[in-house]
Amino acid sequence: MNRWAPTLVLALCALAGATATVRAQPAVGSLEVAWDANLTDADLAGYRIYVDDDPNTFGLAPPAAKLQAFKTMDVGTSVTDQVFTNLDASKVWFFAVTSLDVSGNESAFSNVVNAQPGLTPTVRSVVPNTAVQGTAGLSVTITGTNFVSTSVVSFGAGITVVGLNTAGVPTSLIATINVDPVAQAKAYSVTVTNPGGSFGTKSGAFTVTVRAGRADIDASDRIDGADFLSILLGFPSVNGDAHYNINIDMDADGKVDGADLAIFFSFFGLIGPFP
Amino acid sequence: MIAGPRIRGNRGRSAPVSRCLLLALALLLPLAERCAKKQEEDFGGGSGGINASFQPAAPASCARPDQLSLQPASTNGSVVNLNITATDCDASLLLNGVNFEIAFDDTAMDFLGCSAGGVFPSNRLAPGTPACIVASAGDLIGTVALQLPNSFRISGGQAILMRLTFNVRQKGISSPISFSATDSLAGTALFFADPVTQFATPYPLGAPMYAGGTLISN
Repeated sequence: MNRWAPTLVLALCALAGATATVRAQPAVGSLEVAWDANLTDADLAGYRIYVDDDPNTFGLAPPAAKLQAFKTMDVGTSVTDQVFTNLDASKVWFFAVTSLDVSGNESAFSNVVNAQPGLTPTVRSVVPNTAVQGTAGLSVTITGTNFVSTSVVSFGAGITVVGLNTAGVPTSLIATINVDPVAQAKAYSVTVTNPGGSFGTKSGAFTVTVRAGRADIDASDRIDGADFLSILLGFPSVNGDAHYNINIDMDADGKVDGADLAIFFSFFGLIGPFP
Repeated sequence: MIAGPRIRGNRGRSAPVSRCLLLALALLLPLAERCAKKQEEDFGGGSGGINASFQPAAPASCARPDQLSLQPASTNGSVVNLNITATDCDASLLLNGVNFEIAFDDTAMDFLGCSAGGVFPSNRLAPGTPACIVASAGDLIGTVALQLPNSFRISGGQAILMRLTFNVRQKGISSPISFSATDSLAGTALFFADPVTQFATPYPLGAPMYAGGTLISN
């Protein structure tokens, strides 16, 4: 027979969103395989996915390869991607897909793709773990496990990673960050993502605090009653209100509320110049 | 050795039980009613051997034009309580609050705290106020306001806006206390925000006269 064989289009990508359980098993990983749907065979019954760490397996005809493959999986016609978990992360895994019809016939292999599950990184500490709004060029050392030279570090909206020193992999990364002048004052999660999408996150690992100079709203170099009146004008308000103003939203959380007044009065009386 | 008063920090929001109230309850029932109605609070007790007093530069009198002045409230040894008093005998001023900046000699006295006057009921106070702090040596700044769009007029000719408490450090002092940066929202000014354009910038009402006074100890 010469049936149509699916094409793997997304190649392979490691499964994002690894859980703590997976992180506890650093020797295994996950991979996701996806393929184009077969739209030409009216009697299509489904697909069969072949998984093996030996590329020679895919030199065999599909029925014979099934006996050699580490794993095969049959899925229905509506399925066009599949995640494989608990794959040995020390190996390169090969994937191919065939089409099955209602008579039990099987197509030839699709193109064969391969990938190695990335080890899931973990984030254990972040030092320093605080910065004020508007901080630029701060070097932050992130320690953990399974970092690689192509790891990506992210802190979330408002904090930009402008540089990454990977000399300390697999246990250390040094990120150079810029904190937006109006980044929300809160605790941020720090995430390290490895190629393939596996990632580790430490919640609340980095805190942005309010820059005192933000309370000097009239830029008079003293935080005083005049600045207070500016806040009073927009109290209370939320982003979108006519009298909301980001300049008086000290913690930049989209609300001018009691927290902003409390923050303001914590700076009351300070004399600049403020950075 | 002279025992100092208990320092409560520069930002006095809470105060010990009013000595005025205690005294009135014990001895002077007619006065008790007057004291109990006041929101202003006194801070700390005086130190032995020093008797301090405050001599206002001008009385809070309707014989004078509208003014913002410091007036004596009470004394207790070295501790002197002053009232920031607004005088407006024709009730022409519609007010939201007051910002103030006061210059004093910090080698002669310490600022102990402040509290809001009765024209600022706690349920309408702008959160965080009253706030008072020594921004730099001898430079006391503070503010108290109603949460917008509340406002008030002065009835009876005068109103206590704030009470300030100082402790005189030693005998033989005659030290001026005065408003500075007057008619400025960044210094000293009564202010108002028009409720019609509720969130327009408040503007300083100022006052024709500003009057401080002199702290004296013996």
